[in-house]
Amino acid sequence: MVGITFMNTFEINDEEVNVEEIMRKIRENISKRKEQGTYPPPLDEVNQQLISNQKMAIGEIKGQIADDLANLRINCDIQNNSYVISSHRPVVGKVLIKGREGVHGEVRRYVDPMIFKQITFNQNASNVLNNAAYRLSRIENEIGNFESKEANQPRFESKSLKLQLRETNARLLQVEKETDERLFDVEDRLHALKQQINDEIAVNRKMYEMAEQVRNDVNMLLSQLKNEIRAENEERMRSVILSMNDDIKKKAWLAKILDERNAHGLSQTEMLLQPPHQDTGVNYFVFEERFRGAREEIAQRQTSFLRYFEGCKNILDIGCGRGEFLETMHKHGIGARGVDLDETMVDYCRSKGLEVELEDAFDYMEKLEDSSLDGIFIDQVVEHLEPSYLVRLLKLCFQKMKYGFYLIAETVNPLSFSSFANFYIDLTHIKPVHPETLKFLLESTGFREVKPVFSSPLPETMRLQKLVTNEGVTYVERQQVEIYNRNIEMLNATLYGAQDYAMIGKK
Amino acid sequence: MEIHQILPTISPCDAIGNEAFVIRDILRSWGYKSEIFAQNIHESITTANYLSEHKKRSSKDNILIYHFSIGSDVSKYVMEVPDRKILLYHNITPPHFFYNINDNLALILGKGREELKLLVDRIDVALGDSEYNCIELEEIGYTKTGVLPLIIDLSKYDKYNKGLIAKYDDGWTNILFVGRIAPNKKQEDIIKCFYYYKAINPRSRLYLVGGFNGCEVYYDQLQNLIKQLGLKDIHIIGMVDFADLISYYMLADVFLCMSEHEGFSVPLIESMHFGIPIIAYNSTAVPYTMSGAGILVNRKCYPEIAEMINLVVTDEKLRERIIAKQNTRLKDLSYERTMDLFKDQLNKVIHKW
Repeated sequence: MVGITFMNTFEINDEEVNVEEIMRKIRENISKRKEQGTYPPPLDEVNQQLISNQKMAIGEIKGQIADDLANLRINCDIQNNSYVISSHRPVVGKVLIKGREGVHGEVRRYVDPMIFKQITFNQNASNVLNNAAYRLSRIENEIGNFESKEANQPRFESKSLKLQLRETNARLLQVEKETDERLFDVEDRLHALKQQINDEIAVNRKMYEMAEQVRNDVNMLLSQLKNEIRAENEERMRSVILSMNDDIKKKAWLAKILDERNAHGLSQTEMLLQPPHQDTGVNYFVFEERFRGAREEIAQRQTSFLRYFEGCKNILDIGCGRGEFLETMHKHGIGARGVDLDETMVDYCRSKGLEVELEDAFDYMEKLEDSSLDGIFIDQVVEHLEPSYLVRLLKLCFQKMKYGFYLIAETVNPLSFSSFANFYIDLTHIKPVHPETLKFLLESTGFREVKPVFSSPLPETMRLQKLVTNEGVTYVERQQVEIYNRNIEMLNATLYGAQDYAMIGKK
Repeated sequence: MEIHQILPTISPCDAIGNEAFVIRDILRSWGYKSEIFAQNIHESITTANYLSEHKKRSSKDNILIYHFSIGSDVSKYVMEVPDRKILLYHNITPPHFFYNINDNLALILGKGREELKLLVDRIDVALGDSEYNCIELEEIGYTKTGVLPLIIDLSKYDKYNKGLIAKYDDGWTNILFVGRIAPNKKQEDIIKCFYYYKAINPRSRLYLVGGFNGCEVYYDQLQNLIKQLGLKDIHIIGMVDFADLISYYMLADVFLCMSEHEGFSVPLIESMHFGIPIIAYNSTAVPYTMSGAGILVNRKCYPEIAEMINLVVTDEKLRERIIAKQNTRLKDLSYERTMDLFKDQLNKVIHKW
């Protein structure tokens, strides 16, 4: 209960019995039966005789004096009604009764007038006392009312106190009735409220439990995640440190070799003159560092081939070198492996976590299942090969590739004079391969949709410059400048064209 | 040392008389000389002595146990004898209940109250036969008090009237009250409750069991009320023999008590014994006797009480709970237990000197 306790009609001292629930049911039943007219007329309406309820309410008088006055009225009649002449003796009983009745009759002749007078006196006395008490109480009430009115309210002279009292009483009765009804209503509402509060408490508890559960789950996931991240970080750190160690080791080794060579007085050109075999692969690493360009640039250039290998899982990079292509592919989630003859290159690639084999490409591929590769990339390799080797390699490539996938072979563009002129800077270059030749070789091997893609143009600063016409030049002058510029374009195309080209073929 | 008992009237089927015999037998079994003395002795009782004979047995070394339940000349006698005195208080109904119903009774009840006050200084130990009576004694001014529990031997409640059972065992709902037809028992309120219940359940009847000797005026008033309310199936049975009493208990579905003055109320215990759910007005000794069992009524709202009777009759679960709780209460009042307590208390009081 919320602050108020109602005294229930009933008291059941049993934890398992809900008295409030029972009271609710009882009241429901009563109002239902009242509606249905099940009940007989209310007891008050039945003109019943006042029986043992001996105390009568007298005016406004309350308390012990009311009881006394009631008893006074009740006991006015001093007639002894409970006196009965009888006898349980079987034989003498009748005689005894006769005798007693005789005596009783005689006594009554004497006593009855006295009793009558006494009763009359009693009644008068009782009436006077009751009346006096009633008047006294009325006067007290009037004085009380008067005083309270004096204190609190303006006086209503026009109305008699009696009338006001009667009205107040009537109002009080009405208020009492309404209060009863409202109390029932309040009780019902309290019940509903209590129920609602209980429900809400249950929901809150449930929510709290759920929140607690979620918190636990999140904490668990967080700690799991933390552990995973830590493990991953540790793994990465380990691999970085490993590769750094490797790098440092290799660089130290390289530096040592270079130092040795320098010590032996070998020039860089002489260094490059060393025959290219596996043991001296270091030449080519150094060479590439110097002449091929930064790995990042190369990787950037190779991204243009990405679209041919999209979604592939098993690409082979023949002559993978420093692994720029493999790294680019990995970065884009494409599966690619490499093969190279140069041990330094292979070590370098492996230190970067790339999958690379130290083997001759031909030997390597022969071991693969036919139609197992979904892409082949041959970058700056074909110019190093003997023509017969190249033809066999391309055939083998075709054999090992899946249908519908691409082979890309990039090489130096001999159509541009500048790149052709620089071709022999690399002593391991055997001969430049003309685009038409490479196209023919690919097509004759069986590749379809074969096309060249030219790349690596020289920067403008390294090309022949065009003339710019200013305003105010004559028509002839403008014509001449245009002719000149066209010639420059033609010369630029021949002399300073694309450095490389890639021949792309689809099986 | 002799221990005797004294009381105004001794008659058969009277709770106080019965108790006097129990006490006498216990005292004799303990080796005391013990007799019962009374002013009025019913002719069927042969083992009691008239009050006048006590004089010879009176001594300051003896103990006199005075059973007090009504005003009488015995009080005056008790005050005068030199014996050490134990008052055994069986309660007095307030006289106002009997005004205009039995003025003689009202008179002697009023006298009894006065005597009880006068006896305060003349009594060594005052015992109530219930907690409620003990509290009343203390309120009057007795200081050395205690409870001598009422002994009810329920194992004797085994004979019943087969004919009566057969007559009324017809699926109707029987509401019962056992107790003298007397204004303090408020049978008129029971009738008023039944007035509403009869409308809820027409297949129901009310038994009012108990003699109306001395309260004929009240009996007539009850009959008039029934007539005015146009009620049927109310049986005011009057005094019944033991087998019939048991039969009414066996027939009853609910025991309804609206009494406004009880010193202990043995019928409540009897109802518990017969597994009858009790609905009783919360007054005087009733809550002490019920001791948490049954259903107590705080307000005499007749329609609500009628609905409660209906619930107790129809709601099997509620009914079972009420009866279970009553059975637990009944265990506290077992014959063996109360007898032990009774003997302990009696022994303690006797040996105080």
